[in-house]
Amino acid sequence: MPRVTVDHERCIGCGTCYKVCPSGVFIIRRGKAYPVNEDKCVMCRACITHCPVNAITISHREEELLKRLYGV
Amino acid sequence: MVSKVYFASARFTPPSEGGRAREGSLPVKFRKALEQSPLPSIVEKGNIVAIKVHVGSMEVGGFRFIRPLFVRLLVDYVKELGGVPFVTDTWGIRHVYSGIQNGFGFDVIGAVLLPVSGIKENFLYEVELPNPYHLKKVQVGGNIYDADVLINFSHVKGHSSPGAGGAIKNLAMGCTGPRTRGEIHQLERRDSVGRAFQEGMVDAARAVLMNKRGKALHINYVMDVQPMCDCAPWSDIPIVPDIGILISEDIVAVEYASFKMIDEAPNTPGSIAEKLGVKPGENKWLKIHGKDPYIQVEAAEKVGLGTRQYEIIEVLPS
Repeated sequence: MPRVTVDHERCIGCGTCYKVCPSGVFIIRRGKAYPVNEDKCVMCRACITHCPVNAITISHREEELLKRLYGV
Repeated sequence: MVSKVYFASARFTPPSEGGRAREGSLPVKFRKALEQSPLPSIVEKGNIVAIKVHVGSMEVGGFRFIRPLFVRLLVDYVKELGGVPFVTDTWGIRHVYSGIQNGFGFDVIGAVLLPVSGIKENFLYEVELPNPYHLKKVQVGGNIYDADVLINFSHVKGHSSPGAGGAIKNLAMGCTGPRTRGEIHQLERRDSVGRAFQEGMVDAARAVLMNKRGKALHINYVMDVQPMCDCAPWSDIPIVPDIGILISEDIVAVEYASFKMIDEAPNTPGSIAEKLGVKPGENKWLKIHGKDPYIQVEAAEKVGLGTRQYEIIEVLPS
């Protein structure tokens, strides 16, 4: 499962991620983007390439992997 | 029909009497393998040649990707053949900057590093795929589609979604657009063994190769075989000692041979393979990630992308 993060110090709330995301991961609230439906992310990374302020990161959920592979 | 797979071993090969030691070293053998491979007949004078690699993670952390030196050797040879090479990877222009940080700048690789599909991944061609497993239409990166030749230079490593990624994944996820990648990832939810996901990857790889008949070469870099994809911002020690570089016109043969060699190799002491008690000869990635990577190979063979019948031609010092 993916992990989506938005750096709110960079986010300008422009709504680009909301518009380009095919899965409805983001909402815009009080001028900031929130990945409220992170579990719906299909890792297409369209939000990252289109974000004008480079505020978004997506990675595989590390907790599951670290637990499975390294037992932590 | 048996496909030829040219193999340059990472293991130093002592030269014959009077020969120089460098002849037995991987970079020199890699160049020789390229010369023996079908590449000289694939690249015609003036051809624009896309070299698709993975230039590493966006955030600093991962460090086990293809060493830029090997890209340089390939670029130089393509130029000697009269081709016009460019090196490329996906995710837009930001990834180009990550790539430069990771050593894929012009000064090292000798070619420009371009995004597969434009600065914001909008330069895409839609390719219709007859009789797909899942994807009827695939977004192919514009710079890949427009290139006369595609050299699929892939780092073989583990991946939590298909178990392992190599030549097929480098095309399927690395040469396509966001919508297609999303559709493939969505297939992960269909089953727990990764079958639909891997079939989706085969659809995408087939679409990428559609206009490259006789104009594609697949190079698998089976070195630094780490548990996770190059996109992950962390690396671990490789699960097996370095194996080498495999080259073929047949994507199925080169992938199958690479996965087999990894399975047959001993575990690296202290690696995750050792920790999980993987035995030589076992399906290592199935044990590590719970996904059988051979599904993609079999699915690709089934749709005619190649054959699992391969013959290894080891490149030796002269």
